[in-house]
Amino acid sequence: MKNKSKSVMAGLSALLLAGSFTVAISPAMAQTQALDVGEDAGVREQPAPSAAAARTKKIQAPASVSTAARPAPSVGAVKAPPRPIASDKVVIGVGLNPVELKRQKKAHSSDKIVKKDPTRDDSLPVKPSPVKK
Amino acid sequence: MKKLICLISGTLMMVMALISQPALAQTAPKTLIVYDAPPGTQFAKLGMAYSIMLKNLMGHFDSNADMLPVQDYVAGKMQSYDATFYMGAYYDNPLPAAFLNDVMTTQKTVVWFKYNLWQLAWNPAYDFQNKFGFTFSSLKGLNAVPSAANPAPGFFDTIGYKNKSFVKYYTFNAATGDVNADPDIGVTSVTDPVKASIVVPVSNPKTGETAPYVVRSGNFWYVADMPFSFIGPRDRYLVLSDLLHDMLNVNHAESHKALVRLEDVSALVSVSAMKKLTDYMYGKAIPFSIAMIPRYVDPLGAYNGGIPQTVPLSQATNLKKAVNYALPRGGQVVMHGYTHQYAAMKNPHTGVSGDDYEFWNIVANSPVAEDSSAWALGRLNAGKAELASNGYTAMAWETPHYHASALTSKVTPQAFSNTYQRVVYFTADKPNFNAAINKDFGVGQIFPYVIKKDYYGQRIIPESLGNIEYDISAIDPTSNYNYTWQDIVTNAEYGKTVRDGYASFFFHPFWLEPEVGTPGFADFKKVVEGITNLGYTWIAPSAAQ
Repeated sequence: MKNKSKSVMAGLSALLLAGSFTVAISPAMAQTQALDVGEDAGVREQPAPSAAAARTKKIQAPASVSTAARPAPSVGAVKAPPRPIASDKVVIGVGLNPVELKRQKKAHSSDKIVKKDPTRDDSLPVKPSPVKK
Repeated sequence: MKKLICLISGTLMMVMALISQPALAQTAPKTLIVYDAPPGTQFAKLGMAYSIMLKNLMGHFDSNADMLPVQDYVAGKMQSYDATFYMGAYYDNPLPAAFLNDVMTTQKTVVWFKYNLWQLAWNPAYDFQNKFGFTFSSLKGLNAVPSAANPAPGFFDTIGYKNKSFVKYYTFNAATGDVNADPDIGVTSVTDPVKASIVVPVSNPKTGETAPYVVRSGNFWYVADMPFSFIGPRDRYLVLSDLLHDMLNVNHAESHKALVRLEDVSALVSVSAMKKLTDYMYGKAIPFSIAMIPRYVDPLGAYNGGIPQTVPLSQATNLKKAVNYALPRGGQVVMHGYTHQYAAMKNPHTGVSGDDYEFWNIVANSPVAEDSSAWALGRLNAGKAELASNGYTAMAWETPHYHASALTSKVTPQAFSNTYQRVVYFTADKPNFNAAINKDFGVGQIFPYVIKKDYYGQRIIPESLGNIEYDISAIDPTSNYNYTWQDIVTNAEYGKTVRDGYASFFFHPFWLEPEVGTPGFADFKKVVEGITNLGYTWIAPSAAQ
C-alpha cells in the first residue's frame, strides 16, 4: 500500500536521522502465520489441565482466523503489516508465567516429610515407648 | 470570660483539626477499557482477559473501570472518561471509525496497547504523524525461526526502566517447535521530539537494536506490547504498574512497605518452629501474619494409615499454642481456606489439608460440583465460626493455592473485607476453556500494591515475591526445585521500581524442622535482612493501604 510504504519510509528515515536504530523490513514476513495459545512447555506438575492453562489447548490463533474469513475493513482502513517470522510457532500465556504457576500448584504440607499426630501437644512429656522384653 | 475562653479554645481546636487533616483525596479517575472481541472467533475473549487484568490494576487508583468490546464503541463515549485504554490483543481486528476518530480528536488520555495502531498511523485521513510526532513502522517478533541448533534467536525482550532490565519470558520446546513467549512489538519512532518522547525503551540484545517500548505524545500513549502475558515478579508488568500513576495522573508518593506471612499453618504445625520465627520477628519489631487453616481433614487417611481423620481447631492443641504465642508478639491471623482441601478426593495431591485445592477442581480444571455462591459462602463462614469459637478473628482471607472459582471470589467480600493473595480471574463464571468459539480464559495475576476493589469486588493486600523452596525430591517428589532467598530479595529489588510497590513474601515454618535438613531459618533471616536493607518498612497486613 502506498500509505504504508510512505509512512514506513518516513519512519525509517527519521530513525536513521536520529541514529537510534534501523529496522529491516523482511519480505519473508508472512501475513498468514498463526498465533497459538498453548502448553506450559512441560512445566505442569499434573496431567490434568489447570485453569491458568486455559491457554493450554493448541488452537488456531487470531492471525490465522482473521486471514480466513475476516469482516471487511472499516472505512479508510489500511492493510496490516505482515506478522513477524515464526508467529505460527508462538504460544502466548495470558497472566502469570508458567514458573509462577507451577510454584502456586505445589503441595505445602509437611507431613510428607515429618509424620505427625495433628492432635499432639508438644509441651507434654513424650510417653515412653513400650519396651519389648 | 469563661465563654470567651471556651470560644477561643473551640475555634483553636477546629483550626487544629483542619490543619491536621490529610490532604483531600484526589478524585478517582473515570476509566474506560476498550478491547478487541471479534465476534464468532475462538479468541473473542482474549482481549477481555487482558482487560480484566488492567481493570484490577485500576482498582489501585480507586477507579472502577468500565469494559467495552471495541465494536460496541459509540462516537463521543471517551469524552465521559478521564482515560481510555485500548487493548490491541487481536492482530488486524477492524476498528470502528467512531473509535479511531475519537482517539484522534479527544483531549482526554488515551493509552493504546500493541496491535492495530497502523489503522490510525497509516491512514492519511487521520494525519497521525503530524498530530502526535511519531510514526508506526512495523511489527517485530522473533529474529529467526527457533530450532534445536538455535533455540533462542532473540527478540525485543529487554525493557529498561529505572536502571533495571525487565526481560520478557521465553522458552522453546525443540520437540514440538513451540515457543512460549509473546515476542511481538509494534515498532514506532519519534519524528518530532517536541510533540513525542520515548518514555521507556526496549532492546533486542541479539541484534543490538532498540525501539520505543512506551512512547508518549501529550494525552496519547502507545505501549508496544501487551504487558499482561507471561507476567512475574521481574516482568515488564511492573513497568506498566508504575506508569499507570502517570497515565492516570494520580501521583502516589514513593513509599515501600514490606509484608511477611507464615504459610499453611495447620494442626500439623511445629510449635518450636513457630516460636523460633515469632521470637525472631518480635525481636526486630516486625509485624507478621499467620495463614491459618482452621480445620484439618485427611479424608483418605493419606497420612493416617488409611484411616480418615478430621481435627477441629478445638482439638488442634499445637496449632492453638503456636498462634497464641504469636498473637501478642505481632502476629495477625489470616484465614487460609476452611480445610484447604476438597471432599474425599485427591485434588490433586493427597486430599489432606494444606496440600490440595479447596475451591477449584484442579483435576477436571473446572469449578467443583457444588460450586455456587451459597456453597462457597457457607465454607467461608464455617471457617470463621471455627476460628471464632476458639477465640480468633481473621483480618483477611487467602484462597488455597490462590485458585478459586469465579463465584467463590465474587462472594468472598461478603465474608471478608480484606483478601491477602494472588488471584485467578475467569472470563465466565462457568468457563469453557475448550470452546471452538468464544473460548474462556483463566488468568493468574499478582499485584505490586494494594488493590482496593478487583474485578470480583475484593480488596487485595498484595503478595508478589513468592516463597523459599528447596529441592528435597529425595524425601518429597513434589518438592523438586529451589527458589532461594536471593530470588526473593531480587524480586523485591524489582518491586521498588513501582513507586508505591510492596515487598510481600511468605514462608513455610516446616522448613525449620530438623528432619527436613534445610537451612530454613538462616535463609528466612536473609530474606528479612535483604528486604530491610533495600529500604522497605515492615508493616502488619492490617496497615496495608
